[in-house]
Amino acid sequence: MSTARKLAVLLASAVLGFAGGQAAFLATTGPSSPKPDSPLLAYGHCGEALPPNDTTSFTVAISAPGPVGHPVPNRAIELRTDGAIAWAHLETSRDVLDRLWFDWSYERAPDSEPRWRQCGAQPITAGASTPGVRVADDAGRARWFRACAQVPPHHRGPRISGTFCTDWVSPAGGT
Amino acid sequence: MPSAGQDLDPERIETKQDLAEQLTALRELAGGTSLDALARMAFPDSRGRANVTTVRNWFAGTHAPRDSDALCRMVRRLAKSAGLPDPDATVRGFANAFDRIADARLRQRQARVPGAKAAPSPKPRWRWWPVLVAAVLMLSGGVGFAVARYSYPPPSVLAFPSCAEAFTTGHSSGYLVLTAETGPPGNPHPNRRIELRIQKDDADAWHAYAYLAQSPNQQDRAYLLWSYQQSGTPRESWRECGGELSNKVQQTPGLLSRDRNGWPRWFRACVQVPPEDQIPGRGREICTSATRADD
Repeated sequence: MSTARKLAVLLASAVLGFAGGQAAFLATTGPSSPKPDSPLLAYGHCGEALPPNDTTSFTVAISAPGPVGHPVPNRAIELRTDGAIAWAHLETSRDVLDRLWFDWSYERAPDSEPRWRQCGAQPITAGASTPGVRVADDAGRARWFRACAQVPPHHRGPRISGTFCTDWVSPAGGT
Repeated sequence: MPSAGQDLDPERIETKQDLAEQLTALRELAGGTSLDALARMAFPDSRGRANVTTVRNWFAGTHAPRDSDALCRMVRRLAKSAGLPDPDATVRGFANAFDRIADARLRQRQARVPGAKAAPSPKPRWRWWPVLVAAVLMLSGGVGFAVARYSYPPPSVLAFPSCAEAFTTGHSSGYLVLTAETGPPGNPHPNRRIELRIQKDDADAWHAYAYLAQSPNQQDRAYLLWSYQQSGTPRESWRECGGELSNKVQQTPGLLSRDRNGWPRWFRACVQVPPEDQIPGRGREICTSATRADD
């Protein structure tokens, strides 16, 4: 390869790297134009907000004990589903100041708060179950859920945060 | 067997196999001279089986001649007995062919000897080339990132009025609750509800505003916190846009969810309750978590 061609390749890679660096900035931290509408913004924070179905047949898709770090984790937050909708349920609440909610998203384990919606947080005095959201939306897109609960400060034990959540789960078999 | 005559062209000879072919063609033209006679033509001063074997090897293509004179002597005699019009030209052709084969043999030998003058394997020179290109790519990528960062400084909330664009919000075009929070903190029967709402304008841009959906006390104060930094940043980087009474409900004006330069904004909707409604030991402020429209 001749010296001139080498110089040309080096120059081209310099220009390419420069453009790539700028593109990386704009893609991560810089300004950008709005993306097409997210399906998340087609519904309110509780989606279709349907009444939960705790009386007849439901299954617990996932549950997590809490409060985390407490000597006796004496509560359990559940994500329940009857096949059509999913909702959160706090089992064996010990305090009127307990709260519960669930997060829902179209992604598996979204990493940024704008990528999920929070339905709640509902005080336990308003019911041990939240409203329900369809496991898949009208367009058939599967949704992902996680249920969370928070206990008041005097129940938190050594950990400051009294919040505990389940993992993300998709009862409609989302991938 | 090549058809004699037509194929006789010493200029085509590049290898000892080509030479054997051409010699065979010439021998055919000369009437199929015997190997003994050929050996005598090539080596007139000496006799013996060794010479016959040497000449046979020439015609078989297994060895090239070592001596140009011996080859030329034989070719001259053959060309004359074949009756070729210009025997000298034919001899010259075979002499040149001999030189080409000898040169190729020399080059081959030099390539095999280490430290010879011939060009060494080009690999060592190329090993550094991709590294250099990668280094230039990375370096210029960093420079590009830095230049972009410098030429697009993140905006400051202080460069705007407290409510930025301060759009009028109305509910005729519909709205969406991004997130909501209830309080006051520590009250088992919350009687306040603050909502972070968004709605679209005619240009399909989202406006965010705070809406005090439930409030038993007229001294409640609703406001919208907004920032260019993500959630978890100190309170100082948040700007406060105060709410006002509109249709008997406290709500704030609307802010672009993403400003006119494309920078995303983060929002929290808050309400502050008067001291008499505060639960002892708990705060007076009810705030949603920080979020923004997923656009």
